[in-house]
Amino acid sequence: MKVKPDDLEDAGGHLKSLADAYDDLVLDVATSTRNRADAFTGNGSSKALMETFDEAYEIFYTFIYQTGVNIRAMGLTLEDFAENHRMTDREVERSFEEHEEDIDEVRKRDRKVGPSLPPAPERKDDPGPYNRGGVN
Amino acid sequence: MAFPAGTPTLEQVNGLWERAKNQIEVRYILEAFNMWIADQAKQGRAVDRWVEGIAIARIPANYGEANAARLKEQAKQAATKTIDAFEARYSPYFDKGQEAALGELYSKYTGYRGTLDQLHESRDIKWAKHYTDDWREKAAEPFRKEFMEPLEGAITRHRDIAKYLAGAVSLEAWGQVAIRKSFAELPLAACGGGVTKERAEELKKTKGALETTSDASGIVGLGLFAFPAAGLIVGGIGVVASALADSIEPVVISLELPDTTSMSYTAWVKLVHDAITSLTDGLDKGRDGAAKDLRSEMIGAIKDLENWETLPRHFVPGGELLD
Repeated sequence: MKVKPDDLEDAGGHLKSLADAYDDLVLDVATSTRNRADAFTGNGSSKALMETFDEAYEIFYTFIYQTGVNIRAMGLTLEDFAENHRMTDREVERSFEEHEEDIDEVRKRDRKVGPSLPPAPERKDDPGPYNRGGVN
Repeated sequence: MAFPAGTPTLEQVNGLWERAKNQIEVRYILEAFNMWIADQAKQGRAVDRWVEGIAIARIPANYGEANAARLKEQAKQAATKTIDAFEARYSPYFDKGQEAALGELYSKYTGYRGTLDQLHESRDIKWAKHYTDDWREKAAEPFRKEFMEPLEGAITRHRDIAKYLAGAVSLEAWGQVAIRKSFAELPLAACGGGVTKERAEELKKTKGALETTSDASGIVGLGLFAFPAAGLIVGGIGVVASALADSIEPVVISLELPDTTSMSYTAWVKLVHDAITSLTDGLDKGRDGAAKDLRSEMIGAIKDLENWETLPRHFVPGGELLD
C-alpha cells in the first residue's frame, strides 16, 4: 500500500478547505443578481442579454454549488479511507467501490454551509439567496 | 466598471438641444412665413421682398412688427415644447441607477473570476493533488479519474462561465454607452444641415465649441457644434470586454439622416422623433445580436451542464470534459 493514511487525511482536509472556499463563493453568488433587473432592463424592450445572463448564471451557480458539494464529499471520503489504513489491495479496491456509493450519502449529510439545492429560475428576484431547503 | 470617460450625460445632451433651440425657432418661423406667404398669394397679394424687423431679424414685407413679435413668442414656446418632447423620450436612456447596477454586477463577476484564479493556485488544491499523486493502486484509478482530474479543469471552466456573465453585463453596458453617444450625436445630425455617416464620423473627431453662423438674410442658424467626445466605447470596460471582443460584435447603433436644410418644421420634428425610435430600436437589435453571439460562445458550458445531468452525481460538473 503506497498511499499513506496520513497523506489521505491531509488531502481530505485540504479538499474540505477548498469546499469551504466554494461554499463562500456560492453564498456570495446567490445574492449577486439582486440588481440584475435594474442593470438590464432600465430601458428598451429587448431582454435578450438579460436572458443570456440568466442562462449563464444558472450554469455558474449549479456548477460551483455542485463542485463544492462534491469536493467536500471527496474530502470526507478520503478521511474515512485513512481510518482503514491496513488493507490489502483487494480490500482497497472493495473499499473504493463501497465508498463511491457512500459519497452520495456524505454529500447529503455533511454539507456545511450554503443553499441546499441549485437555483430555481423563478426565485431569481427574491431578496435573499436561493435557499429552497435551508442551510444544513 | 464605470462607463468610459466622455460618455455623454443627460445634461450634456440637453445642453446640445438647448444650443439647437435657436435653429428650431428659425425653422418654425420660416414655416410660418411660408404659410403666410402662400396665404397672401391665394388672396392675390404677392410678397416679393423681405424687410428688416425688430422681433425677427428679417420678415416678409407687410408682415408687421406686431405679428413678428407674436410669431417669435410662439416659436420660442414651440421650440421649448419640442425639445421637452424629445427629452421625454431619450432621458430614460440615461439612467444613473442602471449604470450603477451594471457596474456592481460587472465588479462581482470579474471578482469571482479573480477568486477562481486564486483557488486554481491555492495551497489546498496543490496539496490535495500532491498527496494523491502517488496513488498507484489500480483500484484507486477510477476514483482519481472521477474526483481529482476534474478539479483543475473545473475551476478553469467555472472561470470561463464567470467571464460570460461579466460579458453579458459588459455588452449591455456597451449598448448603453452606444445609445447615449447616439443621442448626443442626434442634435448635430438633425440640425447640421444633413449629415452623412461619413461626415458624422469626420465631425466626431472635431473638437470645438458651438459656432453660430449668420447668413446674408440675417437668419441665425447652427453651423457646427461639437458633441462630447465619447471615444472608444470599449474604453474602460475592461478585461472581460477585451476577452470577448475578438468573437462578439459589440452593440453598435448607427444613425443616418437626410439633409434637413429645407425641411419644414413639422416634417423635421417628425424626423427627429423617428430618429429617436430608430435609435432605441437599434439598441434592442444590438442587444439581440450580442446575446446570440454570447450564447454561441457559451455552447460548451451549456452542453457541459446537459451532459453532467446524465452522469452519476459525484462527478464535478463542468470538469469531466476538460483536461
